Amino acid sequence: MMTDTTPKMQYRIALRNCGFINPENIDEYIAVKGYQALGKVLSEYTPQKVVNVIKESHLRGRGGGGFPTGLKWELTARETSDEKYIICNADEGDPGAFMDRSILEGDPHSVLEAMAIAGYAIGSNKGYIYIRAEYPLAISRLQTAIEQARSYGLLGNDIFSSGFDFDIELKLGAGAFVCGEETALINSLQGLRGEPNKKPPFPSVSGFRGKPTSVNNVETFANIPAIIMKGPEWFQSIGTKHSKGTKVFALAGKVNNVGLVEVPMGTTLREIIYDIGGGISDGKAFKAVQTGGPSGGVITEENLDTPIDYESIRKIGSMMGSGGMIVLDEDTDMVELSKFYLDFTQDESCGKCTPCRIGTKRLYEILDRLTQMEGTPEDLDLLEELSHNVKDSSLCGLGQSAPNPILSTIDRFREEYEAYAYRTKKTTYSIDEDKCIGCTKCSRVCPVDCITGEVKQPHVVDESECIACGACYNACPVDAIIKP
Amino acid sequence: MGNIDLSFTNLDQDKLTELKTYINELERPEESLIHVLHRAQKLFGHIPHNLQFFVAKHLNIGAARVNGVVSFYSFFNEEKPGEYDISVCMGTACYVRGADTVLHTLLERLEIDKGHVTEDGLFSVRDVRCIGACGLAPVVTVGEKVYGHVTDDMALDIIDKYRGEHNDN
Amino acid sequence: MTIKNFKALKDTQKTMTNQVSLRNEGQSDNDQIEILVGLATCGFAVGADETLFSIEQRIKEENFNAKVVGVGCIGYCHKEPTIQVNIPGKKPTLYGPVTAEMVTPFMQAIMNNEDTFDDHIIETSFDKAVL
Ligand SMILES: Cc1cc2nc3c(=O)[nH]c(=O)nc-3n(C[C@H](O)[C@H](O)[C@H](O)COP(=O)(O)O)c2cc1C
Ligand code: FES
Repeated sequence: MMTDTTPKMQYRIALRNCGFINPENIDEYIAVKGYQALGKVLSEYTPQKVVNVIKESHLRGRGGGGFPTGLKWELTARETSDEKYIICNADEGDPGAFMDRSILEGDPHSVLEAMAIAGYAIGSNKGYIYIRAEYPLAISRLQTAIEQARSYGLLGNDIFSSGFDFDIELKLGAGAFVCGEETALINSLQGLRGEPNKKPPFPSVSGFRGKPTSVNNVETFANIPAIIMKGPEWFQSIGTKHSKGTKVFALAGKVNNVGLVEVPMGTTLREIIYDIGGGISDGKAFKAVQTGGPSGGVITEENLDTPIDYESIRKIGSMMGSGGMIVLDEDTDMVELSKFYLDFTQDESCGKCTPCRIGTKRLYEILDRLTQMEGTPEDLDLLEELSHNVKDSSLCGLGQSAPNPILSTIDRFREEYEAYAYRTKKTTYSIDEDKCIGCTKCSRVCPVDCITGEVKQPHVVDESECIACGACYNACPVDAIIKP
Repeated sequence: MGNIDLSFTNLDQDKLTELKTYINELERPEESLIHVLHRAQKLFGHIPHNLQFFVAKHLNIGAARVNGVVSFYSFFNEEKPGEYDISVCMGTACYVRGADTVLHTLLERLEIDKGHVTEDGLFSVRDVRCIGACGLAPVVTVGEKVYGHVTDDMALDIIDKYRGEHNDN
Repeated sequence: MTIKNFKALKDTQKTMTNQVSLRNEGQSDNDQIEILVGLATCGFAVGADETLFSIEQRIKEENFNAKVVGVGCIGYCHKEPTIQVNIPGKKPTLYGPVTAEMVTPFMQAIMNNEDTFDDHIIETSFDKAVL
C-alpha cells in the first residue's frame, strides 16, 4: 500500500531541520546552510537593518503572547547600557505540549544562531537559555551544540572576524510553570524564587541584572535564520493578514495521529484534526479541542472551519498559547477538565498576589464540590463571578488567564455544569434493552454483581449498587451499555 | 525546622567536599543558588534541611532563602525518594487518556499519598507535568525507564515487577 | 577548526552538501543508502535507540552498502520509532513503527527493494523551507 496519506498541508519553517539532520553534528547543520544567516548579517547588515528585516517579516512571538518580535528587538536596541542580554525562553510550561523540546532536540544550532543574530541586532554579547530540568536530552544536545559552535568560532569572540562577540550559557529551571512568565524567569535566572514582577518596567528596559533584556521563545528563534536567508517578503507571503508564517502545534489527546505538526497560519482546526491528525481515536465522536493550555479554552464543532490565527482564535473563545492542542472526545467530562486545569494553576500559583493564590484555590474547591455532587445552583454564579475577579485583579498572566478554562467550558457546556449543580447527573451505568443480546458478559465481569438477566434476555443494572467502574462497558460486544 | 545536625556528620563527607569545591569555583555565586541545589540533589538524591544549611553557609546567604527556593520549585525534594521513584505524567494529554485513575491505582495499592514514600522505602509516587511523550499517553516513568499506554492493570504489574527485582537482589 | 569568515563558511558548506543532499533531493554521488532514525524523547521512550543499534549491527554483519544517522523528532509520535530511508534516485520514504525486533526483515526489504514493509510507510515527501 503505497499511500500518500498526509496531504501536503504542513509546511516546515521552524521544524525545517528536525528529523533531517543529526543534531549532535554541527557539520550537518552547516551543510544545510546553517550559520549563513549569521554570516550574512555580520558581513552585510547593520544592527538596525536586522531589526527592520524582522519587523517587515511581521514575525510574532510564538511563546503565547504574539508580541511582534521586531518591535521587541527595537525597544531593547534603543536602550543605552553597558550590558544587554538575550534570553531564550525554553521553559515550555504548558503540560501536554512539546514543540520547543522537539526543536531543541532536533535542531539546537538554529536557536543558537538566532540568538547570536538577536544579540547583534540589539547590541548584546551574552545569551542565556533558560531550560526546564525535565528535558535532559534537550539539555545535553544544547550543551554539545554550544561546545561545537565555540570550537568552530561561531560563538565566542570576533565571530567571522567581524569584531562581534557573543556567547551562550545554559541555565536550568526547576519545575515551576510560572517561570515561563518572563519576569519570573528573570528572577529565577538570578537564583531567586520565580515570582513575577509588575510591568512596567518591561525587560526591554530593565530585565536580567537590571539591564535591557530581550526574552524570546524557542520557536520564535527557530524562524529567524529562515527569515534572514529567504527575506521578509517570503515570510510575509505565508499566513493570514495579521499573523504571518507558520505555527507548530503539539497535537495530542483523543486523536489518531498524535504528533508535531507545523502549518501555515490560517489553516483550519478541521484540517489539523482530521486531515493531518487522522480524526478521533477509537471511532468516538469529536467533542471539542482545547488550545492554549491552562490559559486557554475549548473550541467546539461549529468553529472547526475558522482559519486559525492569533486574532481569530481569540474571537472563538480560546487562545493560540504556545501550541498545545488537546483533542477531546464525547467521553470527556468538561467540569472534570476545568477542575484538572484549576488544580494545575492553584498548584503552580507562585503565591505572591492574593487574587491568584486564594482565588484559584477557591475556584478549584467549587469545582471539586460540584463533581462530588455537593454543589448547588448558586455555585455556578459564584464560579463565574469569582473567575472574572481573579482575571481582573491578578498580577501576572498566570492568574489573569487561570479562569479561562472555566469560563470557556461554562459558556459552551453549561448543561454539564448544571447537571452537577442540580445533582441530576447520572452517575451509574445502565443497559439499552433494545441492543442487549443477553450474552451475559457484563454480569460476569461486574465486580459487585449488580447486573442480572437470563441468557439471551436483556440484562438490567441495579443502579443502587453500581459503583460506576465501567467494567461492563468494556466487556459489552454490542455497545448496549449506556455510560453515566 | 526542628533539630538539625549542623555538624553535617550524617552526610557523606566526600560528596560534601565535592559540593563545596563546586560552590567555591562559581563565577557568580550570588546568582547560582538554583544550580548549586541541582548539583546537591544530583549528589545526594534529595536536599534535607541540614544540607540546605550547608549550602546557605557556603554561599553566604540566609538559610530561609535557601529553603524558600527549595520549597518553591517542585523539582527539589526535601524527602528521600523511594528506591523506585514512580512518576505518573499528569500533563493534559495523559490526563484525558486516564492518567488520574492510574495514579489513584498506584497510590491505593501502595497505601501512600502523592509525593510520599512507602514505609519500607521501596516506592515513592509523584505526579509530573508532561515529559514530552504524549504520543504514548498515559505515561509512567520509573527512574529512566518510560512505560507508555499504561492501564490500571499495567500499573500494578509495574509495582510487582520492581518488588520482584528488589527481592531477587 | 575555526571558521574565520563568511566566505570560509560558504566554502565549508559546499564541501559538506553531499552529506545531506540525499535527504532532500534523493541525490548522491554514490549508491549508498542512508537511514535516519528519529532519536528524540518520544523515540527513546519506545526503544528507537535499540532500533538504531540493531540497524548498525545488521549493516556490519551483512556488509550492506548503507549508513545510519540519528536525527531529531520527525513529528510522528504515534508511529515511533520512525525511520526515514533515503535511496539514491528515489524520494525519501518514512516508515514507522520499526522496532528492534523488526530490523532484520526490515533491512532485508530495504536492501533488496522488496515491498514487505510498504504497509509501514507513513509518507513519501515533505514540504519544508529549504534555505
Ligand atoms: C504563566 C505564563 C507562562 C508562560 N510560559 C511560557 C513558556 O513556557 N514558554 C514561552 O516561551 N513563553 C511563556 N510565556 C510567555 C512569556 O512571558 C514571554 O511572553 C515569551 O517568552 C516571549 O517570547 P516571544 O515573544 O518569542 O513569544 C508565559 C507567560 C505566562 C504569563
Ligand atoms: S502529557 Fe504526558 S507525556 Fe505529555
